[in-house]
Formats: sequence, structure tokens, C-alpha cells
Amino acid sequence: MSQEKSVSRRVFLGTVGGLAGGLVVGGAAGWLLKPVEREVRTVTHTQTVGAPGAQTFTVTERIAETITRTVTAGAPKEKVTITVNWFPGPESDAVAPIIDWWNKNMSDETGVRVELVLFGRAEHFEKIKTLLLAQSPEPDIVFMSYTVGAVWPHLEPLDDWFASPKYPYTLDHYVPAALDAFRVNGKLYGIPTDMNTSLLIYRKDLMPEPPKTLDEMVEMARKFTRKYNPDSPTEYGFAIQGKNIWFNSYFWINLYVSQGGVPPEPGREIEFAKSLDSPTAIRVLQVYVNMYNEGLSPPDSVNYEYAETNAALAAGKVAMALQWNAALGELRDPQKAPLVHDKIGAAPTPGRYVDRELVRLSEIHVHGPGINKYSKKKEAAFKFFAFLTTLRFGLDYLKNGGFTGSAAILDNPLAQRIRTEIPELAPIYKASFAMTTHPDLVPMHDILTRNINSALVGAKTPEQALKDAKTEILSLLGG
Amino acid sequence: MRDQLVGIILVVPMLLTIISITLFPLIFSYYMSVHNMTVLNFWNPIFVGVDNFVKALSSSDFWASVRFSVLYMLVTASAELLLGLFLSLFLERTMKGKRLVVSLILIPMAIAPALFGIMIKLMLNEFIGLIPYLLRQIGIRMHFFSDFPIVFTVLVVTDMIQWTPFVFIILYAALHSLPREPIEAAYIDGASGWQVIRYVKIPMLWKIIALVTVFRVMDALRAFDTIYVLTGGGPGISTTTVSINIFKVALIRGDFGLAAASTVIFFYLSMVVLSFGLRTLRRGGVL
Repeated sequence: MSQEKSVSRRVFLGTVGGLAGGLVVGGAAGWLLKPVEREVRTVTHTQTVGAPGAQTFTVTERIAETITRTVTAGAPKEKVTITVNWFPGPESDAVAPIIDWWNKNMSDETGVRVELVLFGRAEHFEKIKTLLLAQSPEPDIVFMSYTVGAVWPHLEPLDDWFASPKYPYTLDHYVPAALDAFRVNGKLYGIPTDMNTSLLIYRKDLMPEPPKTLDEMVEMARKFTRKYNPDSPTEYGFAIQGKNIWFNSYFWINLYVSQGGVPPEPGREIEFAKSLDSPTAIRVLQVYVNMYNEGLSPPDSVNYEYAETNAALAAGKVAMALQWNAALGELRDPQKAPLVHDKIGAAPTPGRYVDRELVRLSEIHVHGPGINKYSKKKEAAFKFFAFLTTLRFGLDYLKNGGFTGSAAILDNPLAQRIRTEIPELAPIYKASFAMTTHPDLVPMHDILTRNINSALVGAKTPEQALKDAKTEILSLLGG
Repeated sequence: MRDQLVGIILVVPMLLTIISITLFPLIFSYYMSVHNMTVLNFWNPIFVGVDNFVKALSSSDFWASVRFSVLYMLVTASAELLLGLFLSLFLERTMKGKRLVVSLILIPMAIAPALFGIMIKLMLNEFIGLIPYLLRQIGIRMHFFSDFPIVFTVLVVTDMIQWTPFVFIILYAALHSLPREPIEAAYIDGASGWQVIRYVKIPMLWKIIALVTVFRVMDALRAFDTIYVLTGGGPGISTTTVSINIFKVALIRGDFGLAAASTVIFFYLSMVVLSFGLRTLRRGGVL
């Protein structure tokens, strides 16, 4: 006779409880993971805008909410984190809150989370170059500049991405020259989220009218240098950005072109190089050198770049300087420049009169992101990249201190209320030339800056410095 | 036999790591130096033989940077050796607060060189820097980045603040490990403090001094970060070291072949200098 095994009450209750618990957990998981049915909602916003100096055109954009419905095909199951590199400084300060906003509001719907990655400002582009050469898959989005001519083989061509029906926006709102700066051999490799120029930043409380010509600039600089005017409220009238760093040549180039020199525009690089030992070029460099030697600029200004120049202006020690437009945001911030925030004016680079007409020219150049060719998350990267081309991004970027390359935004009254210097910069952008995007752009400027710096410290005469610069640059360009 | 095998297996990963981070870059440098290798053709370079070496050897900028690197090495290595030795001898004695003083001396060595350069640059800024401000209070107006002699002094002093602690701590430890008997015997025989240092302690320390000197010479010859942050190699190219020159050629000019050739040339030039140090170390039984 077999003995039946009796099931204890504990075992029985435990089994039933386990089954019930499993059903509850499984049901809850199923409910939470259920694909969300979303209604596609498209809102179209049409605005007619005018680009500075160009014809009026119409921009149509669906607002950002639709990006989740049109760019993504259904709700994503897993979130992908992409790394986005940006230029440290005012540019990264401007994009960081937008990335925070994206991560809070858009990452769930798009399935893309964004992590901001920054390198040092001074060597940013060299760092990017190294990463791309090493075929590093990260960052997924790299911030570069119009130096794209040197690194385009390592960037993802964007034309097919933008041509895809999944991309709901338009690139027509950008300043055409700004967008073209990112084209190499007809293909697009980036977008101009930042448009930059250099201008004369001056103390408008000291100078109701800024200097319009080079001679006026020197005269005003002398007037506001304590060595020549003991009553001057500033110690120095001018701050030269003389550090031996390649982009510091831009300030001298603007002065030179405004005096009638050949601009280093795309296609005119050799012509520019050949003109470097012209009387005009030598005269402009001599003015620079004289200003330094006569003490109109601080002695340490041979080692000045962006930060030191800003510090000198913010401390109220210097009356004016040629500086990047990004500095306006910092110098007009009551917290960052409490002494001078309400005293800063902006004007075009001093020029010359031609037939009684004042000619002042500045270069414009652009910075912006591109997609790393070696990224393993291009699809996810492009979702965020598409957002970067929206007017919404551009306006927020402007509000946070960046400076967009979108003509539509610059002419937008809202943008002009956000950034009061836009009307000040409009005449500069209208009378500007595009800096070359030649692959040897950086070495060209490096050679020029090195020689300008040598002239400033007296190691070479201006004539010799420019002659050497011309020889080296022509050798580099094969001209 | 089995123990030997286990030992080899355990050492192999580290060996492979060391080989990959030293041997591979060395071989790749030679490869780059005989090719025209730029950003655009990085993965499809063109063989050019010795062209890059000819360009480097005929470049006035390269030789200017070699001259500056050698000058910088001679001044900083000597100054740091002397100051480090002095500090180690001075702090060898028993005194109150010695531990605190030693800790304070070592702090700069813990800071990243580039960051240290930024700190010094800010402190020396003529408008917002602490040091010019303090100097102005006693009636001295100084500009630290305009003239080469002053700029060079700033660079040397910055290097000394950061790397004298390295010399100090090694010599300090070596002093404490010296046998006491010869020193005590010298005192008993009537030698003065200075005579003990000169005729007993320093001769006993010379191997360590030679080793520390070799380290500092090697480091000073390849100086880059602090100088680049402080001056960018300027004014002009007056403070451009070989490392800065190679960096600019490679990453600003984008000519990796020429940069690699410059690296190879400077490597052999450095070996001439270092061979004296290494020979001394071999004679002393250190190597």
C-alpha cells in the first residue's frame, strides 16, 4: 500500500502566492511596456523673413513637438546615448541648457539621450582632428568650423540625410554663405550654428562716436592712454590680441582689408598671399607695431587672446579692442563685467573713406557641428542633429549667448529683443567677406600670426615679417 | 618549471601593454617620417624617403626650438637640482613642523602641468593677477610676458616650483637611507657641517643625484604643456620648445610626416645628451 504524500499548508499557500505574485508582476510589466499609441500632430508655422542684404524668403517649420512623430518611426524601445562635442566657452554655455531641455523633454520620445563633451578651447580643433584621424567612434557629433576643408574625409556627408523624407525641416533659413562654408566638393558636412565676426568693442561712455578710420582709432587710443593723457579714465587706449595663436591674425586681416587689401576669400588665397608685402599691408602692420611700441596697448598684449582681452576690457583698463562678437554677451553681463556691462559699444572694424564713402569690412566665419563618419549611432545622432537646424534651437541658442548663422532668426524681431546687439552687427554682416575654407587655412593663419607676433616684439621689421609670411604661405599653397 | 611558466604568463599582459605603448609609436613614427602624411591622406600616405628629414634639418624654426629646449633644460635642471639638494639637506635635520613643510613643498607636483600653467598665467595677469597687484602696492610695475628675459624667467620659475619637489623628495629619501656611521665619524673627527655635506654626504649621494639629473634632463627636454599654456611658444617663437614645434607642425600645419621626422631627429640629438648621463649611471652600478 503506497503512502500518499500530503502537501503541507505552507507549501500550498506559498505556491499559490508565488503564482499570484508572478501574474501581478507580469501584468504590470506588460502594461508599462505596452507601445504607446500616439496621434500624429503637425503644426505648421510660416513666417516670411528677410536675410540681411538678401532677398526675402519664406520659412516653413513644424515646431519641435513633431520631431518625435516624423523623425522617429514609432516609440523607440531603448534609449541611445549620443555624445555631442561643442566648442567650450560662450558656445557651450549656450548649448548646455538646450541639451538639458532635450534630455528632460525629448529623450523619452526620441529615444536619444545627449551627453555633452568638451575639450579645451585653445586646442579644440586640434583635438577633434586627432580623434577623427584615429577613427574614434566618439563623439558622435563633432563641433568644427569652416576648417572642415581639412577634415571632410572623416565627416559624414549630410545631403542624403537632409533629403530624406524623415527630415521635416529646411536649411533655407541659413545665410547662404554660412552654409556654403560647410560644403566641400559640393557636399554638405556641417551646419552653421555659430556665425562669428570680429568687431571693435569700445567704451561708449568714453567715446560717444566710435572711431571710423584707422587714423581715428590710433588717435582715440592715444587719447585714452594714461601715458599721453594723465586724465584718461583707462590705462590703455587699445588692446592688441598679439598671442602667437593662429586665429589672432583675423583682427589684422580685417584692418588690412578695410584699408583696401585683398581679402582671403575662397578662391583668392594665393592672391591674398601675394599681396602681403604690399605697401597697404606694411602700413597696417606698422600701425599695429607703433601702437604697441608707443604703449597704447598693454605690454603683455603680445600674449593676449580672447580671455585676456575680455579681462582687460571688463576691468576697465582698456578703452577699446578688436574682439570676437561672442565677447559682447560676456561684457554686457552685469555679473561677469559689473564695472563696464552698461558701457560697452560695438562697431565695425575701422576702415577708410573711398570717394567720401566709408568702407569697413570684416570677415565672417562659421562654426558648427557635423556627424562623425565613424560614429556607430548615426541614426540617433541625426535625430538630435535635425533638431539643431530648427528655428526653435536657433532662438534658444541666441537667448543663451550663442550667435546663430540663421538669417531668419537674425531678422526676427523676437531675436533682436533677446540680443540687442543684432542691429549693431547687421551692418557688419552686410559688409563682410567670407573667410576662405581652404584645407591649408589654419597653417596659413599660423604663419601670418607668427610673423605679426615677431614684428610686434621687434624680432622682425613689419616689412620683413610680411615678406616672410608671403614666402611661407605661397610655398604652402604651391603658388 | 611550472612556477616559471606561471610567472611568465602573469608578466605577459604588462609586457604587451608596454610594448604597445612604446614600441608601436616608435615604429609608426619611423613609418610616418618617410611618408608624406597629412590630415587628408592620413590612411593613404605617399612614400617620400628622406624628404621630411631634409626639410626638418633645413628648417630654421626647428633649430631655434632645439636651441631653446637645450637652454631651458640646462637652466631648469641645474636650478632644480641645486634647490632640491639644498632643501633636502636643510630639512634633514629635526625641526618643528617639518612634516607640514614637506607636505607643502610637494603640493605643486600634484597639479597637472597645464592646469598649473593656467594658474600661473592668471596670477601674473597685469590687470587681474595677484602678483602684479602685490607688486604695485610696493611701487613695482612689472609685465611678465612682453620681454624674452622676463618670460624666460617666468617659465623657469614655474618649472622650478612644480618640479623641484620631485628632486627634493628623492634626495630627501636617499639622505635618510644613508649609513650614519661615516657621517658620525666625520663629526667626531672634527669636520664642520659644510665639510660633512661636501666630503661625506654628497659623495654618498652622487648615484642618486645622477639618476635624478637624468630624469629632470629628459623631462625638461620634452617640456610642452606649461610653456604652451603660458606663452604659446611666443613672443614670436622665442619660447617654442621642440615639443611645441612638433605639435604645431603636426596638428596645426597638419604635416604628420615632417613632425615625425623632427621627432626622430630630436630623439637622436637627445640620446647624445642622455648618453653621458646613462654612462655615469652604468659606471656607478645604478644601471
